[in-house]
Amino acid sequence: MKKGVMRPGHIQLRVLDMEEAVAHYRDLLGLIEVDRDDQGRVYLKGWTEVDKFSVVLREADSAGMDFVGYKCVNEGAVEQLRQELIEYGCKVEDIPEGELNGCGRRVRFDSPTGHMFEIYATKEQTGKWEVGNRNPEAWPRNLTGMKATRFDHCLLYGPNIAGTIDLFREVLGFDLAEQVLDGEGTRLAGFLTVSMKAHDVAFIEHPEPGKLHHASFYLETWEDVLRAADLISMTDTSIDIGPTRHGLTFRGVRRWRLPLPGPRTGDLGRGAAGQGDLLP
Amino acid sequence: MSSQIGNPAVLADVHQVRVHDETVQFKASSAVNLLVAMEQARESVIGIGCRGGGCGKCRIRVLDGDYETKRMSRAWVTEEDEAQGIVLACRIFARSDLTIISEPLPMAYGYQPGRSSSLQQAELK
Ligand code: FES
Repeated sequence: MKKGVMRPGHIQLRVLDMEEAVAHYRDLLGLIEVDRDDQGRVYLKGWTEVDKFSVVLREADSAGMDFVGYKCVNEGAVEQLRQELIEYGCKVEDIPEGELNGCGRRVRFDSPTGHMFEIYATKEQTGKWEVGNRNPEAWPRNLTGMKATRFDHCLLYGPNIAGTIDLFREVLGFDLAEQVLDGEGTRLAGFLTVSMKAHDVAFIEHPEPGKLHHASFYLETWEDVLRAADLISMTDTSIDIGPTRHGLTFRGVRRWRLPLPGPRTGDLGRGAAGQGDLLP
Repeated sequence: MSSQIGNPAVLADVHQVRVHDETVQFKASSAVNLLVAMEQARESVIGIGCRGGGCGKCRIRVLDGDYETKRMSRAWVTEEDEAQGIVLACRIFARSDLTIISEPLPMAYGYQPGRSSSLQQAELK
């Protein structure tokens, strides 16, 4: 049942070196740098995104993910879900408006897999970058790198994915799109959607809590994926896998995933994972 | 010593890196990190992961020699580790000849240590 959660809205990543991370996310992936705040955090987005930002980078002494935020239809839905999260047993924290530049109040909550999530409804809408909504050209002329169009989803690793998947289905109104079971029927992976997308978040069972495997960004065509591949090789960027086709959620998803998070999933080089998923 | 990292005024030196208890040696330019130097030499004694100081896969111990470091994830190299010469190869730059040894974390599940010796030529094809 839909509960008012619309889609992934933002992800805050910990990076070891801000200069290197900005070179990766802005110059290589081609995200747009839209703001910096007095904590030194850098805000970015894909050029097609109307909301002000979707990626926040924070310099820290270990790499990984601070939280992912999901956008809800309105403040009433956020308030209703906040109550339900408390009743479900989540530890809930209220983050005031403005803690992230241009973002309204957020409700942050924990999960069995050790990840922190947020829901919010209000964010400044600065429009599509450089094209706006009045007689727009087809695309901005001064994009760089892979020209990633928008934040798509993330894959998270942790223990007890069954618990987090239940939380997402029962409280937040996500649907389980696909899952991977072992020979005994134990769930090893689950892919969930809340929108019209193939998946909005995925979980894989793993003993270390709170890990990020990758955050992915959307590329529209196979040609874009190949061009991204050229840039990976031209910049000697670490690559995990790809392009591949996999059956999960959408037969024929082709992706580049970079740079390699390694087996220590989520502790990513330059705090970074970018992925172009192409849904043919 | 002031940092040479990213300083174009300083010409790169080439140092010799010896892997303790193995026959493997490779040359490392002071201008590239030790992991990249190893890759450029077509060796594989250190595990390769993110190449960005985040994943811990390239963890080594420097037994002898001088080096400069960039920031390394504290998840894999604690301050005590660092004081003992345990570092992430992708974040250090040789400043003299080095003797190193692989120092993988006692990690669980899914951890794949680097190969213990050089790739055979056949495997490089
Ligand atoms: S390769 Fe990931 S920390 Fe060095």
